[in-house]
Amino acid sequence: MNEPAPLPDDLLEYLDAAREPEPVPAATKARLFASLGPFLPPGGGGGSPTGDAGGGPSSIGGPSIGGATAAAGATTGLLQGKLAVAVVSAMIGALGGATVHATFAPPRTVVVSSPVAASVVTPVEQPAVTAVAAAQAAEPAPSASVAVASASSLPSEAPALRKSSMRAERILLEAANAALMRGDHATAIGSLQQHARTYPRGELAQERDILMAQAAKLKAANKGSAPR
Amino acid sequence: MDLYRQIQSSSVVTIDAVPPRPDFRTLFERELNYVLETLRRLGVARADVEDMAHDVFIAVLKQFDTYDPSRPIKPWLFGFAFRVASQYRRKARRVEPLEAPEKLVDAGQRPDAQYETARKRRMVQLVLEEIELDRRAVFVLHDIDGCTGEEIARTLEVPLGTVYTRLRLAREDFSAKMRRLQAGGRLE
Repeated sequence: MNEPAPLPDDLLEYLDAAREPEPVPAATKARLFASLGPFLPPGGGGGSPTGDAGGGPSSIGGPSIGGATAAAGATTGLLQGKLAVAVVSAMIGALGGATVHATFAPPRTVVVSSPVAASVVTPVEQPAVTAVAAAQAAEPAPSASVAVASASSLPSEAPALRKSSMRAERILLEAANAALMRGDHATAIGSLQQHARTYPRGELAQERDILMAQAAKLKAANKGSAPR
Repeated sequence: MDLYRQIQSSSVVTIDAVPPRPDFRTLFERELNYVLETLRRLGVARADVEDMAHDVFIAVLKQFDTYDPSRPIKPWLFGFAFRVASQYRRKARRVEPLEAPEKLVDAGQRPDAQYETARKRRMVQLVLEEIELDRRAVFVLHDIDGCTGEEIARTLEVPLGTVYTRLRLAREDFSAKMRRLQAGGRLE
């Protein structure tokens, strides 16, 4: 079996140019590794590129994130009577779906000569939740933290960065939601505190507050049922 | 003592033959650039490439225990990137507008050389996007990544003859389309 004839030399120069590595910005690297955090085994697979441990709950079973996972979470939540958690799951799913829609919707298939801003996902209105501070104060902060560049610091990468941030936010909240479903309030609060540190004004901040309130309730219930 | 030396030298040979398995973070650090470049070459739009790289590394993480460190890492990673890019292309109906000029950040080249390199990279990218995906995968693996025909056959799970057929057709496509682009024509 013989190899076919090679390309002419002048065209090989083009391939040499294509092989020149294009440096990856440190912020991109850190953001991507942070988004993998919930999927990494304990220990973080060696830590994050920013020096922090990237470990997190590894309870999410696969790469399927967004609408399907959240919808499944919503169904389970209803069955278990945890309506508020289910609503948050559905909201996460809706936001995930909106992001996918914003990415693949027909209007974006049109070839344009100037850049078009990505469509904005309207935040869902939620009742204000105040029972968050108690849980945050009572729970020691986990040592692991994720450093993610803020969107405002990199305006030229804004659309991609915003989408990745949304995804990373969603992953953290889904991990918290899964922990709540298991009755593991410590892991849930850890994920939510990580979200609060990384995205204090994130797109899913309200959903985080609702989940935090649920986690605080669960923690109180677990304490009440613990043997004395 | 002779026996000790023999054991020592044989263990050195063993270590050299099978490199240690990198941990996931090391692999991520070392190969992120390659994964991003490969996704771009397989037709993932620049705006989506980070998300798709996320999916690639999630899949890599799941299969990490199956990685054989005695084999080259790039074809193994390419397999994941190829599957993710194929799914992406089935779902995406996006027609990407002409991209902004690539950033010229390499400090080692003079500005005109940088421009020339960036221009050639861009032309290669444009031409690659016009080549059918299965052929393009073989072309990228062989002519850009430097993999052997056998490695490609293993990665893409196709016979060696198919690899060479696709490579021949891809080279013909690449040459024809690049000549057209060089002549100032448009790619269809």
